[in-house]
Order: sequence, then structure tokens, then C-alpha cells
Amino acid sequence: MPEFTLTAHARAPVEEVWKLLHDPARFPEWWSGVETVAVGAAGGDYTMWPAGYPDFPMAQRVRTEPGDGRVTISCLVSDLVFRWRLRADGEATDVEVEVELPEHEAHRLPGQREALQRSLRTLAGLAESLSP
Amino acid sequence: MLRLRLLGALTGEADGRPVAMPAGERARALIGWLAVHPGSHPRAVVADALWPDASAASARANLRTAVWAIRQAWGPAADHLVSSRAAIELAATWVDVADEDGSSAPAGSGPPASGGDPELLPGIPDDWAEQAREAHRLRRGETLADRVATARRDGHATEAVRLSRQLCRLDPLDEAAHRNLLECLTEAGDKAGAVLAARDFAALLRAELGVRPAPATRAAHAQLVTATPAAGRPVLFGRASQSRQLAALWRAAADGAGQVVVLTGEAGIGKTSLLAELVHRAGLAGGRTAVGAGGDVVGETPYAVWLELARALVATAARPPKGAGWPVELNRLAPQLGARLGESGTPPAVTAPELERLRVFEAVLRLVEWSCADRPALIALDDAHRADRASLRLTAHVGRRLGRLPLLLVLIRRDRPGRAELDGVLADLAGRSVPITELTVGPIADAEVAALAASVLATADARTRPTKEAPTASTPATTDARTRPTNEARTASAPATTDARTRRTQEAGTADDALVRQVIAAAEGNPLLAVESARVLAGGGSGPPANLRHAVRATAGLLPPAARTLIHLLAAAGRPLTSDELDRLMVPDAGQAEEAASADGLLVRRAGRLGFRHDLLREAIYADLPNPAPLHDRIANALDAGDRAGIAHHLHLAGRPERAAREWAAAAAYARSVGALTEAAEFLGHAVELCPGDGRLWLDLEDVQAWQGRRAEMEAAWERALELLNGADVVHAWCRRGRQLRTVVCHPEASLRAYRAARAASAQGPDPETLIGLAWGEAVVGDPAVGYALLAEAEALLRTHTDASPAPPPGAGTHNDASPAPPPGAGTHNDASPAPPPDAGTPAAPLPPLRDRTAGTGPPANGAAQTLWSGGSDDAVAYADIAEIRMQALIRQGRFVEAARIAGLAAPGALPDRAYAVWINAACALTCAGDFDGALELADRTIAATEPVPVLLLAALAARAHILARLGRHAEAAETTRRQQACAERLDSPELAAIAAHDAGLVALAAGEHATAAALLGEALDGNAAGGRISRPGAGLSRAEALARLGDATGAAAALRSAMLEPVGRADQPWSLVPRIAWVQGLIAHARGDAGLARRRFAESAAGWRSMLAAATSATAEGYTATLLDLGRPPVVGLVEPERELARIEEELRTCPSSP
Repeated sequence: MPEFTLTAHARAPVEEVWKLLHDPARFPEWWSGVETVAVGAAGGDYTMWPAGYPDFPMAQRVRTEPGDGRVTISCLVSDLVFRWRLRADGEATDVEVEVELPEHEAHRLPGQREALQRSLRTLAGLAESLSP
Repeated sequence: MLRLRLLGALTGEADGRPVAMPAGERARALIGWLAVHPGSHPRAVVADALWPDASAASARANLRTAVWAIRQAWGPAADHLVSSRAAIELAATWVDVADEDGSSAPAGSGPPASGGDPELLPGIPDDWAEQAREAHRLRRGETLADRVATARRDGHATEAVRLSRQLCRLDPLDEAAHRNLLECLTEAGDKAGAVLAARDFAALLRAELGVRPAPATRAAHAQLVTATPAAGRPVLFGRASQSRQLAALWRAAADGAGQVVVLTGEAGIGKTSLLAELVHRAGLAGGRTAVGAGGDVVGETPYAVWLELARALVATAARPPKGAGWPVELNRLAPQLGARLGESGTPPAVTAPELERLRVFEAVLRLVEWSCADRPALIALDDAHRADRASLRLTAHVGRRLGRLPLLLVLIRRDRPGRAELDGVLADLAGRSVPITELTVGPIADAEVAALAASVLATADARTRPTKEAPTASTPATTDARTRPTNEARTASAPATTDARTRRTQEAGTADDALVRQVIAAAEGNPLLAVESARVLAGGGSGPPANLRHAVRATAGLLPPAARTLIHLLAAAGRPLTSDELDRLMVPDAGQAEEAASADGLLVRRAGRLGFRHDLLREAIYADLPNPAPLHDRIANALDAGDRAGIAHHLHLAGRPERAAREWAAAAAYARSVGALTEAAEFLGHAVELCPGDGRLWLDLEDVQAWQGRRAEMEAAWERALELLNGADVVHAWCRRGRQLRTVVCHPEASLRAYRAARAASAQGPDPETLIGLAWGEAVVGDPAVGYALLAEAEALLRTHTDASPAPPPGAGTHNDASPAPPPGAGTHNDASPAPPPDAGTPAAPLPPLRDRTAGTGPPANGAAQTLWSGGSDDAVAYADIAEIRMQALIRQGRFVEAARIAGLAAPGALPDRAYAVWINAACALTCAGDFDGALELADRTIAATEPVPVLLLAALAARAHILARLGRHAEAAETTRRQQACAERLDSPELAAIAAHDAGLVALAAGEHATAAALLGEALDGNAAGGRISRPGAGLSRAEALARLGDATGAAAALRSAMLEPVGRADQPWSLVPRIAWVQGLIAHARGDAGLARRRFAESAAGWRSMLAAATSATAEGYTATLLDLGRPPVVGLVEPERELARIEEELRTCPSSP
């Protein structure tokens, strides 16, 4: 299965990154390609509209696993899976994301890698700006 | 004052002068009648009583004559006879029979009649006189029995004998009184007297009734003549110092300083004898004593040692007051335990093994506390190194609390090999500051060995005399060798006079000294070896045996055939046997066999059981058995039916694998029913090893592995079971798996799949249980509407199955007008319902609600094999399930009030776990709906329903506390959490204690008790390191909030950081954590004096909560189900209320100063 892993270092405490990562309503602020989000019930499911495709709602799910401390965000339409993990580094935070694509979406890997790299940078910058 | 004595001759005195009695028999009878019937009586009544066969007129005339005769005889004292035309009485008269103990005797009247047991009103043959004599005899017996008990308790042995003899004279055929006399004589050191009394009593029974004494009396006689030490009358060599030390420890414990003493030493060194001495002393001092011994740790019934201890405790404990719940809980261990305390019922099932274990622990602890309530107690575990694991765990549980009790806990252990579990118990107790004294029992000095050997040799000599006397070499009197000649025979009950004995031992002295020296060389200070070596030498051996086995072989070889059979059977049994078990062995001439083997020091009766004097002797005999299998077969058929593990063990050794497998399964069912899962898995492991083709056994094993949380082993057993089962068994197996995944493992999606497989495998269509299981899956993770339809189907089937039974509870019926309407779309279940999502591991084993129905129901009472396999369903349970599932379906849709209404209709009745599940969910549902008063009422109802089951009560108390806190009744809430914490502490579960601390911390936070809250929440997080039962991120945030409120910004920031690194699950409701983090950040900023940042954070938090308002109900509903599934209890504690949170923050914003 095609996959890749990216890391970033945010000069912001882990709680700032945590809030951004667990709040789908804020994904458009840092996640490249996510234009709009509609959060439904509180169970972790939400709907995302990709940038440039206002007529294509994509059902998404945020899941947290107590076992490994990761946040998994999966697209219920395209089967892309993003696994995020945060590690505190003093007043900074190491961010890691593993991305899995289904075979039939393999051609999207380079684009996803680039988008996630941008997203990580934005996420780190946003967290930094929010921290006192 | 007139003083009349009716006992013996009728006499009287008035004002210090004798009063003559009339000569006529009827006049004397009249005095007697009036004396035993105080008060005024109509003349007609008195006349009729004294002259029943005369006409009324004649009787009255006789009465007048008798009165006249009395007046004539009494002279001036006749004024005490007050008579009129209508009535007659004795006035101002003291009567001996009415004042047995002389407590109200007037001055100068002297003691009551004593020096024997004079008859009441001798020579008066009337019926009323007979009745008076009988009543007097009974009263006298009771008084004497009390005085005997008091004398024994106070150590006045001679007085006890005197009184006991009087008691026996009252009713010479009373066997209990006779046995009591034997005990008193033995305690007084008059063993010869005891033997004579036993002989006379047996002769009396033969002469009077033509019968033999009852078995208990025969056993007491056998004990006397077979050298078995009388219970609690141990006599030791060379242990005076340790004996004194133990006695001092006992006294300290009895004064209320409960403690532990550990006796350690090599096998045969005399630990058990020291214990027996201590038990004897404790008993004499009025203590309650109980001794249990560890046995074979392989295949031992769980709690075997504590079963023995509990039996001993309930035998003498007073009956607890009516309404005490714990005696019936003891029946979980063995039915007769509670029955002995007046509670013979069946304890309510809870079904989760861990909860069963906690209930067993609590019940036994209560028994121990109750046993210490009226007198101090000594509880001893002999051979603790061989005790079963469950007993050791329970010992630790009791041990942790003995500091508050007048209790001495004695543990006897060998110095090697080590037993890690026992070391763990002692380390645990030491870590909790329980006082522990460790005494090492070492070899005795050569002089003591010499004395011991001389005693054995002298005893062997004594045995050659016609009357077999009791050689007490194994337990000679506690005394130091220096106080006596080394070759003096120390036979406490030697019938010969001291002079005769001395003369005899002097004659034998020279020869004995040589033998004694050989014994000293062979024994190396070990009393057991000394005794056995001396026996061999006394029997004519040319030298001491090479080892114990040789010694025992030599002794056993001289026994008669029946005695050899008996010792072989006991060697195979591996533990002492009860009289009933011995009877079932049908050993010919068992009494003589026991006598012979006991006389040679091999066997001994302790607490009514016959076994080897020392286990090393048993091992030696067993090692010499050429073919023990037939013996094991006999033992298996003779053992108590409750000892399933023992029966299985012997059947296995007898070469009967299939029967052994069934018994192992039955033993596992019992083990599981008392929460001993490790043992249950072990027993089932033996069972499948013996019968690997039995799918049901594999299924039972799978169940136990599931409860142990061993998923890999569980799956392996499941695969084997599925391969082997067929037909209806497959349906049942899938159903059972569905239930496991619904309860034990809590994996709703996988449960749903299992129930679907059960439905697919069923040729006749699904049964109610399958439908209910499917409905649960749909209710919590699938489509609630489909769940509703399935429940309707289940109910229809239940009604069909039980046409004749009463209608289901209203809450469970779909057609009841009061029931909430099914959700829109509810219809017939669709077989093509969507496939469930992939498995997701949810490892937490939840607290109740618990629904498993496969629990064993206590130790099997009959011989039938019992397995975990359980077919059929209990309608009451099914209807309670239906009500609960319907509630969950409604809750998941946010229809809280409707859900609570179901509880009011369901009436879960007397099933504590079902009542808990229904009421607690209803309370929580009303809390979610904002009806806190209604919720409080339901929480109180939950508490009432769970009072007998502390593990359920905990959660009920937590719910009550949080509802009270929500109502602003903080003092009551705090009081309730204190009760919850006390309850958790007693249950001795770190996990439950951590949960209670967590709940109390949140209540303290709500009350503004920030320091308390921070401490409790810290305690909860430390104690719940493994997580799984509380929301750790949530608890961490609450702790950070408390610290920030205290002004500790640094501590709060650290707590916040820790919370962020906690694993997060769906029960943590991550969506709610985001605004809570901002809130805590605001408080920290506030504490640091950064008002601007504080306001910004508060505003951020408020925005977060505000965005949730629209979906608050569905968020609460989702959070509810997630909490229920992952944490195992409804979210009354820490319920997330966006609206309330928003109001709180807005208030903070209003009061928080703006930045300059």
C-alpha cells in the first residue's frame, strides 16, 4: 500500500497543536486542500469540501486510539488515512504524520506529499502564532 | 424470713431457728407445691393439684387437714403460711430451688445445696413434682454448662472437671456432657481419669440402652487411647522460649493490636506443635481459634484453606443480626457457611468473576471482623507455603485490616523451597505497616532430643501393658530438659503412678541411654526425625534408620493389615479426611485400624479429620506404594462432592481421563463462580488435555480466557471449539461468543457479527437470546430502529415460550401503552443490514452493566458434573435485558426522558446487577435531561438495590454524589464520595480506589475545594496508571484547573502538558477537550496575572462551546454511549454540558478584568 511519513517541529507547546489537530472546524486554517468543513454530531464525523470542488462533499472521520496515542483522520470516500502523532519537546512540539493511500489512489501520492508538507508548515506556524 | 430447702430432705428455718416439718407426706407435699408455685392460689386449685383423684369436697377437706398439720409443726413460723377461705400462699419465704446460685439468698442462709446433685422434693411422686424436678434439672444443666465453660476459659481446669462431673451426673446418658468431661479431664492432665470415664460411659450405654456411643464420642475415645494429643493440649520439648514469645504476641493481639506472626523452619522441626500449643493457650484465654492447612498446590480448590478457616469460625460465631447481607454471601464459598449463621439462601449473582472475587473477599473479611467482635481471635495458616493462590490473596486482604482487630494471624511456612506468592503477601503487609514478627524455629538442643527420645522409648514400654495408654512423644509437655532427668518418660497421661514410672525408667535407664545417644546422632536436632528414629530403635531396630522413609517403612511394616490399608489410602488422599469421607472408604475394622496407626504415631486427628501426623510421613508412605491407582480410585469416590478439583485429581491418577475431565470442568465452574480465574483456566487446561475432542470444554476455556483478558488464548480456544462443535451447539457457541464480546471484551461490532453468525447457523430461526444480543449491537453501534424491531421479535418469542407464565414487566413489552413509541423507521429486522466496520480493539474490561449468564452458581451440591456450559435463558433476565437495551437505544438518540421512563416500568426486581443497570442508566438519562431531582431519586433507588453488592454500590454512590454536586448540595456530595472511598478501600482494589478518588476529586472541584480536588485527582491518576476506567485526559485537565485556581500556575501548566500526552479514546470525548484546554489555559494565564491572555483564552473556549450548542444533545448522547462502552459506567460523573460550560465561562469573562 503506498504510504509516506512526514515530520515537522513546531515552536509551540503541544497543547496548541493538539487543539488544532482535534478540531475539524479549524482544518481549513492549516490543511492544504481543505476549503470548508461542516462538523456534525460530536462523534468525530465531519464533512469536508476540497478546495476548488464546492459540489463534492467528502465524509471524514477523526478517531483517537487510546492504545498508541495517535489521531487517525480517514476519508470515508477515498480511503486515504492520515495518522498523526504529537510529542512534546519542552515548549515545542514534534509532529509526525503517516499517510496511507489505497492502491488505486497511488497516483495521488506525490500531490498528497506536497500538500501535507505545506500543511505541516502551516500547522506549526499557526500553533506558534497562537501561543503566547 | 422463712427459708425452705427442697433439694434433698425438706428442711426449713426461721430467724435462725430450725423449723420442724410435718410428718404427713401430703402436708410436706403441700409445702413443696406452695414453694415451687410462689404467690397466692385459690384453695380449689391447690386441692385439685394435691388430691387429683378425690372429689372436690374431699380434696378441700384434705387441704384443711394438711394446713392444720403444717401450722402445728411450724409453730410461730406458721405465720408465713397465709390462708383464707378462698386462697393460700407462702409469704416472705426464700426457697433454695428458686435461687440456684445463691445470689439472692438472705444473710445466714448459707450456700445453696451443693456437694452433689440432691433431688428436688424426694419422695413426692406427684406429676407436678416430676415436672418441677425436670425443669430444675434443665436449669441446673444450663447453669453448670455455663460454669464449666467459664472455668475452662479462665484456665481453672480442676474446677471445670468438678462441675463437668456434676453435669454428667444430672444426665448420665448425655453424650455431649460426657465428651465435655473428657476434654476437661484431659485439659487438667488427668488422662487416666479420662480413659476411665470413657470406659465407664461406654459400659453404661451398653448396660442401659444396649448401644455403642455415637461416632463423635467414639472418636473422642479413640483420641484418648491412641496417643493423639487432646485438642489444644500440646506439650513440647525445647520450645519454652518460643512458646512464651508466641503467648506474648497473642496477648498483645488480643488486647487489640492485631498483628501477624510467621513461623519458619525446616520440615519436621516442630512448627505445627508450636502452633498447637499457641492455639491451646489462646482457647484457654477465651480466644476464638481457627486453623487451616495448605495442601497440594497443584489442583487445589480455590480458597481451600479459607474454607477450612471459615468453617471453624462459623462453628463458634454468634449469629449476626437479621439483615446482615454478608452471611448469605459466604454461601458463595460453600452453602453450609451461611447456613450455620442462619442464612441458607443463594447469594444474588453478579456474574463478572472479578466482582465475584471481591464479594468473596468482603464476605470473609466481614466474617473475620464478626468473629473478633465478641472475643479476640487467632487465625492460623499451617503449611502456608502450600496454600492455594486464592487463599493467599485473601490472606493478604484480611491481613491488611487486622491492625484494627483483636486478631493474631499466624502463618507457618517451611524455610525452603520458597513460595513467591507467600513472600508477596508478607511484603505487601509489611509495606502497609502491618506488624509482622518472624520467628525461626530451629533444631532443638541435644538434651531436648534426648528427653524426647526417652519419652518415646518409655511410651513404647508403656504400650506393652494391657491398657494402651497414650504415648505423647510427638507432643510431650512444654518444659525444658534441664528441669528433668533426660531419660524420664514424659507422658502427660501416664496411668502409672510417678513412683512406678520412675522405678521402671530407672530399670531401663542404662539400656535407654545408649539408644538415646543414637537418636541424638541421627536426628540432628529435628524432633520428627528424633521421634521416628526412637520408634525404630524401640521396636528392636539395630540402629537408627538411614532416613525418614526407612523409619516410616519400619513402623508401618509392623501394623496390622487394616491399619496398613488405612495409611495407604490416607497417603494417596494427600490430605486429612473427614469422618464422612473415611466412612465412604469402607476400611474394614476402621476404628481399630485408626487406633493402631495412631498408636504408632503415624496418624492423628485434628479438627475431626484424620491424617498423617506430618506430611513427610505421608510422602514416605506414598513413595513406597507399588500401585497407587486403585487407591486413588477409592479416594475419588469417597471425597466430599464439593471438592471437585480433588476428585478430578484422583480420577486422573486412577487412569479415568473422561471422568476426570468432567470433574475438572466442574471444578473450573466453581473456581469461576468465586472469581478464581487463574485456577479455572488451569482446571480447564487439564480437562482439554485429557479430552481434547470435547468442544464444550474448549468453549468453557475460551470463556475463562476472555475474562482474563487473554485475547490470543481466547481466540485459539474459540477456533478449536468451533472445529469440534456441530448442530445446535454451534448456534449456542456463537451466541455465547456474542455475549462475551458484548460484556467481557466489550466489542460491540464483533459482538454483532457473532450474533449474526448465530442467527445464520440456526435452522429453526433465532432464539430470544440471539435477538436480544443483536438488538444490543444495533442499539449501541448500529441502527437503533433495527434494534427496536429485534426486541419486539424477541418479546414475541418469549411470550410464545412462556404462555403460561405471567406477563412480562410493562417496561419490557412493546405493546404496553405506557411504553415509549419506537423510533421512526423501526420495522422488521433487515437481514441485509450494513456490514459492521472492521474490528477496533477496545481492551477495557468494563464495570457493570454486566449481562453474562454463564456464571456458575457456587460449589456443586451433588455429585453431578457441572460445567460452564449453560443452555436456555432466564426470562426475568431477558426482560431486564430488553428494558436496558431499549433504554440505550433511546439514549443514543438523545431521548433521555423516555429512556428514564422505561426504568420506572421495567421493575428489575431482585436481580442486583440488572436493577443496577436499569436504575443507574435512568438516573444518568435524567441528569442528561437536566432533571436532577428526578435523577437523585433514581440514584437513591440504585443505592438501595445495590447495598448488598459493594462493587455495584460504588458506582451508585458516585452517581448520587455528582447529582448532589450538580444541585449545589456539596456537603452531602462530599459525604457520599467519602462513603464511596471507604467502600472502595474495603474492596482492596487499587483500580476501584483510583476511580473513587477521581470521582471525589471532581466533586471537590465542583465545591471549590481546589486543594482537595488537586490531591484526589493526582491520587486517581497515580493509582490508575494503566488507564481504562477513568478519562485520564479529563482528569488531568480537571487537576490543572484545580491547581490554577489555587494560584499554582506552574503546577497547572505541567498538569495541562501531562494531560495532552495522555492517550485519548472516544470515551474522553475529544471534541469537549478542545474548549476545556482553552479554559484551563485561561485560568493559568489568570493565575500568572496576564488578564489579556486569560480573556483571549476564555473567549476561545466560549467560542468552542458555543459552536457545539446546536448539537449538544447528540453530543451528549454519543458521549454517553462511548463512556458506557469504554469506561463501563454511565457518564453521570463528569457529564459534559456545553451550555453550562458556556455560562461558566461567560461569568468568568464578566468578572475577569480587561487588559490595560
